[in-house]
Amino acid sequence: MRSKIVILFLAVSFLVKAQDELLIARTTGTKTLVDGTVINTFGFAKRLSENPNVPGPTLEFYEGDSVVIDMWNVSQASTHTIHLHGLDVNQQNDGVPHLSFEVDHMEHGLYRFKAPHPGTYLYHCHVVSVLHVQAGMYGLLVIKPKGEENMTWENGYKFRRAYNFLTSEIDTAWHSLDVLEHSYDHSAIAVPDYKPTYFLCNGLADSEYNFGDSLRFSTGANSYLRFANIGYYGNRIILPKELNTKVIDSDGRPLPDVFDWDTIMIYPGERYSVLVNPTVDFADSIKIEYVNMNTYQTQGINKLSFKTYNSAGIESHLKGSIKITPNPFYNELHIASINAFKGIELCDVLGNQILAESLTVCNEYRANTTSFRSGVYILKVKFLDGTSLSKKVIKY
Amino acid sequence: MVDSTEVTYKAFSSDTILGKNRQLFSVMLNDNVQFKFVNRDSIAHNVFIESWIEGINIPAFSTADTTIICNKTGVFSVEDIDENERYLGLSGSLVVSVNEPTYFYWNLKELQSSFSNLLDESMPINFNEYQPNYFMINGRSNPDIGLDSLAKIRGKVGDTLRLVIHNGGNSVHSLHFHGYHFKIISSNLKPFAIGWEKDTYAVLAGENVVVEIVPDKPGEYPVHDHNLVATTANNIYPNGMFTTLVITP
Repeated sequence: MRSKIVILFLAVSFLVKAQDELLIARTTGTKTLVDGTVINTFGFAKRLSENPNVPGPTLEFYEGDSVVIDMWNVSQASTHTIHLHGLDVNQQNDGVPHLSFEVDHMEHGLYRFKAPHPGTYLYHCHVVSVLHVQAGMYGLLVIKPKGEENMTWENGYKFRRAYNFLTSEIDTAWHSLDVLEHSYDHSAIAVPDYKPTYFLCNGLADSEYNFGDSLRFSTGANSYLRFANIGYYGNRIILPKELNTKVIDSDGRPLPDVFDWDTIMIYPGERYSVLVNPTVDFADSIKIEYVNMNTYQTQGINKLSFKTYNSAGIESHLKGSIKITPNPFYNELHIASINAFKGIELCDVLGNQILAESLTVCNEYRANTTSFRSGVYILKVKFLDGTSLSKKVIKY
Repeated sequence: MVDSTEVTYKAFSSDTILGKNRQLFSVMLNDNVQFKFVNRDSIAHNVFIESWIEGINIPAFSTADTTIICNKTGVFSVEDIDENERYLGLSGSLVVSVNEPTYFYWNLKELQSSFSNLLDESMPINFNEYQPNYFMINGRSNPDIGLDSLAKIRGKVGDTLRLVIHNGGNSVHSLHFHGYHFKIISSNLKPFAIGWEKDTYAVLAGENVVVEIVPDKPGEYPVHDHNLVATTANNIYPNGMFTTLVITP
């Protein structure tokens, strides 16, 4: 009898160890766009209690890590996979349905790989990929050098802060249930013409980015900007000359030469990273143009406002970097930030904690506040780099 | 097309069999090459050979001759000067090699069937409204690309595989390789990228690029346009610009 108990314990331990990263595939998500339009989405989340964000959570590993990603398909519809874009994994773990394996409803699929070169990568579903990627099943995957948090790669470049920018587009016609609920037979799936009207960076668009102080680049030090394009348009990234931009890597590999470019074209599936190192204090924006690759016309623009700051004022860089809407709020509180955050807390004026959410890395979060009493609250947003910012909010 | 739709298409070939998958001419360095152009079309064509011939006129149902000494290696475009004729398919490559050519060849091409039909009726088209609905490599779409021995990449672990890519279309094609990074060996439009290691490379319209792959593991891995709309044919997935590499131990 005793030996049976021991065997059960070992089995449980094994299962826990296998879940280095858990990604839950869902097909019941929704996303509120900048003008209030709500679309249906597919996506990945790390917890059952989370609405899958578009994009999905950013996954971070260290060079040489032996990684297991457990993808749990709790969607009601299609099979799903994870393609580890750019990681050059073997065929079994490549996430292409007819060449690797598909994960059925309520099943788990384990993707195993050794984290290769430090750099910027993507992950996305490869089942009916033209549709599932547009639906939202994608995210960024970053590999850092082991033991050197603020280095691009071993013996590479030091930087003070890193920012990730993942671009995509939305064509709302592709998000109707008639399109999303496709056949289980993947041999001939019909999709509409692609005519996107929303142009996203980290899932946000247009005025959602007009935060003023969202991005802060220190003078006299490198900031490391990772750009990745999972959309179906090309991106022309235009950086002000005063940022002294150096293009240093692409697709997870250092470039043989450093390029002093202030404009970069990034096409679907590509990733580029740059260092910016301004020498003067100024405010401006990084412009992202979304270029139709058939007509070469720019059909959307995002502007990422930034300011430079003197390194001595480092703790003030987060001021104003979050956008809270509405405030006062009623049944929902929407928090958005260009800086990735990992947790929120809401306390009343007496310091009683009303809400505490430990989140996967995200750039926006919607809190259901229906049950909260009217009054003044203090919202604390905890950022990925360990800093936090508090703001006063009011419930009507 | 892959779905049996008939679309107006023009092509040239180095032999008497015309076909969308035969627009490649391979010669050796310092070859003295005599071109005899035979025009079977009802209109005149004016052919451009990058680096050597700015334009040679070939009247309708007639012939023209020219000779070039291929004194430099590389990949060079062979195209009709007329934008519409080029769009209809008259765009290929001349490859000048030092040794016997051991490379694979992809001629990327997309088209919008309604544009092709308008041109067939001598009606105007407007590329500012271009929205192609077929996407091909060597004139074929998935799953037929693998039937072309020049396009289907097969090799062994450790082989040095070279792929010559010509974008004969009007759109940018952002090719993503699963399984392996590759090295850029040459490019006529992006020479700054020579030596870069990439897994995704955007081939510009009119670009000739040579990439080198040295597989480090066996398997079958897709290569496809990561503008995923280009993995469809007439709005049906997955019949577009998608094929696989097959690497044996």
